[in-house]
Amino acid sequence: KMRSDPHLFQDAVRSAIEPIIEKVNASLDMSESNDSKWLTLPPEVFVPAKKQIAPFKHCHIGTRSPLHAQALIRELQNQQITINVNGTQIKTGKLYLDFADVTQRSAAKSNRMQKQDPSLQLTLIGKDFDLPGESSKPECTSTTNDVVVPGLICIHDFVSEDEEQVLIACLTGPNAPWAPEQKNFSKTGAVKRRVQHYGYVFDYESADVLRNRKDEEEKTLCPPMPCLPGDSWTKEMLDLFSDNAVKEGSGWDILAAVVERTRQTEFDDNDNEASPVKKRYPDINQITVNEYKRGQGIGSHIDTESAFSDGLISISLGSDCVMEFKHKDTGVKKLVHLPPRSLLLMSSDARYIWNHQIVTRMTDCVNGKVLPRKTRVSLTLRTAITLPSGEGKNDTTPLAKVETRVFPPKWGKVSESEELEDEDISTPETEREHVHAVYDAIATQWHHTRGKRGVLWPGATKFLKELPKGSIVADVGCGDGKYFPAIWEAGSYVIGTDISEPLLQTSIGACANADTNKAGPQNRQVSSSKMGLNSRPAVAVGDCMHIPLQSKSCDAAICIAVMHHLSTSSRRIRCLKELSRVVKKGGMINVQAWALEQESNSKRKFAGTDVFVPFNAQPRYLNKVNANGEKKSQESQNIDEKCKGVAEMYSDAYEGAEYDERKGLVVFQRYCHMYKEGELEDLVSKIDSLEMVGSGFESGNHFVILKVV
Amino acid sequence: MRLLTHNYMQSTVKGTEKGYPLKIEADKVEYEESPFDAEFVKALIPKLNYEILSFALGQIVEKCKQDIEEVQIPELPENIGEDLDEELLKKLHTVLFDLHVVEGHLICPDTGRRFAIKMGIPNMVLHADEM
Repeated sequence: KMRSDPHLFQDAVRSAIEPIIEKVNASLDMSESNDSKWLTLPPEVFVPAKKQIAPFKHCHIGTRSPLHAQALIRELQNQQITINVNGTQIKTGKLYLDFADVTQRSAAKSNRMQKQDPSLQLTLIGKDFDLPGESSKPECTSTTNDVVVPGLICIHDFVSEDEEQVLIACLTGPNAPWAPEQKNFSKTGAVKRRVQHYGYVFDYESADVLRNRKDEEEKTLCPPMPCLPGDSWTKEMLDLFSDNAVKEGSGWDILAAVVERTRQTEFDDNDNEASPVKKRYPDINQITVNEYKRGQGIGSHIDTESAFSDGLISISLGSDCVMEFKHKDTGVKKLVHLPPRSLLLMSSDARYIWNHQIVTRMTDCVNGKVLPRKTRVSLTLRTAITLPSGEGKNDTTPLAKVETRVFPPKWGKVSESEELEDEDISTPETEREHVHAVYDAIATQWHHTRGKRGVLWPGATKFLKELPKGSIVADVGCGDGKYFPAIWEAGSYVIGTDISEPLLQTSIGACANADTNKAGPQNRQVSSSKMGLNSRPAVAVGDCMHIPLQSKSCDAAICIAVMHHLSTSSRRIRCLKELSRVVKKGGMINVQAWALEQESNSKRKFAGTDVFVPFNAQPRYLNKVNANGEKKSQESQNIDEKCKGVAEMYSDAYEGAEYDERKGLVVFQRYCHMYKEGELEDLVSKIDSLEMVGSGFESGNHFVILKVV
Repeated sequence: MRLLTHNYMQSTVKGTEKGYPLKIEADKVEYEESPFDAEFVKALIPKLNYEILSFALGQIVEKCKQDIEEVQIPELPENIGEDLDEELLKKLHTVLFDLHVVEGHLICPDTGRRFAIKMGIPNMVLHADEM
């Protein structure tokens, strides 16, 4: 009875960990406030409902505080302990502890945790909890090497490292078509991870493919699959095409090439050794992209038989993971290590009679080695089939392929023409969240680590020096006014505009006086005759889509490191038009923007034309403004602050920021468009009033020198 | 915000014809003396819209007289020629560089849209429906 009652088992574990928790609590200073008292409450210990079958092999421990979780891991990992189950002393096997954030676990849905509880849920996976004396083995693929799953094939290095990098940047980048309002596709909330569908929508609620390609309520058309130009692609041509796509940073082209490579691959049939047949899946017509953050997994399942034909393919990018296969009748288990860049084929038995799952945890153990999980992007390639026909058998005819060469593929109807003559210049959400809000937040640190160092592009400095004395210069997107001293020293007057008010504020009185001993970088020094300008630089908050300066009023303009934050070509063209509008006829304009092509010695390398470039922010420098530009009230912060680390709190306050737990940093993702060689020139050629007088590449940037005509 | 800067600014609100010159409603002005550079002033004068500079000074002069004690607010001649004596250059220097509108509003002459000036920085960003 003792062993069949989960409550007795839970109580035993609870008392066993009690001393550890008390030790942590004793070390905490609880004098400051009552608010944090609840952090000292003992953890909840429970055996998940599904696992309440004796003998108990593992349990969950929901802690109130990360400190508790850390102490438990420190004290218990790999240890054998004795627990007292209703008076009987039982020595456990070696314990294996893993943890996951409650918010990432389906278990969070159970009401065991308070919503605001920041604790970690600790999973004790003691393999042999109930077998005294025997040491446990954490889950490990080698223990299942002898188990054969017919129809399961794993090909390593199906995707190259270069392809992987560009694919991940593209599929998790600013243009990735994540399923809109995912709850519409999963009203039960079954899917917490981010997903993308191409070709046909997979609906998690009905566990079926939506053959009309759109959700009934939303009427949103699924993005088509990216395809290659033309047909009859040989393997060599595909590789060449993909190499080029890597150089061009075009993830969509690589995705198209990987799909075609998969369609052409001949898989050995390990299911039927007597009469080996090669298997091929040329009709693949659906892609689902899943992003598994560290600690996320997927429950045990067999893909709906009436939705997809035989042959399911999963390509892993970015992280290792162990997939668990379990025979649906016998319960026999097989653990398969999926290294990054590998392709896994599930066919015949592996597809129809073995369940597969990815256990929710932070690490995997492969042949004795613990592999921490990272963010894993998986590409699931499947062949969706026609509706089951009446009472008879399924019509297994593959659905028609829906493909496109218009990138990025988008939800909803997309114009067939490649050049979208879109005049819309309103600020897209991407820029609002991933450019404007980011700079508002990081302004102080940006100024300290960038502008203050006074690193100027020599080309831009030369351009400014050559302007006639007394020139009025518009610095559009001036940021913290990095170029102001160079402009003043050249004898000109600068009016700076920028969308970020916090950044502009850092420009005030920012430079050192060369005549004192307060030596700063040379480019940040101003001579005493210019100190008046420096103490109150001429700046205005303004949008480069509507520069708040009079037409034909300035003698020159610079626009440096701005255009790479504009996310559509209509906005890039508008920016150039605005620059040409405010400058007098005959006046000069210098535009610089980040280049896709970086020098080989550069620490920067961009895996795509449209990417997120992370900015690691130290919480103490962050401006206390949220994405809507409203100051957070001091009161509401106090309560949060008690429960959470400051960095974690800030990452919550900003859209598009993530909390780096290990480094205590807030990681912002800045949207950037990387210009290919010749791209700026192409844009300029569309504007009649601009004549190009020079162009080039400098320190990872493309630049153009323009004359207003 | 200096009157020199104001000379170049305009409103870009939808429905604006010229958006220029912006009216100034000053709530707080400050004086900060800066080094006088005759050559620099001379170089800037021909680039200025002098009429608008006079207009701008007229908009803030009362506020300047209230808020500023350090100096007498210069009066500008109706027109200026090519020959500028040192006294006039100094006056122009003060008006162009040393008077600052710190708090207040810029107002679009066509639409009446008010742009706030805070800590000397005018905010000219438009709302989505004004573009």
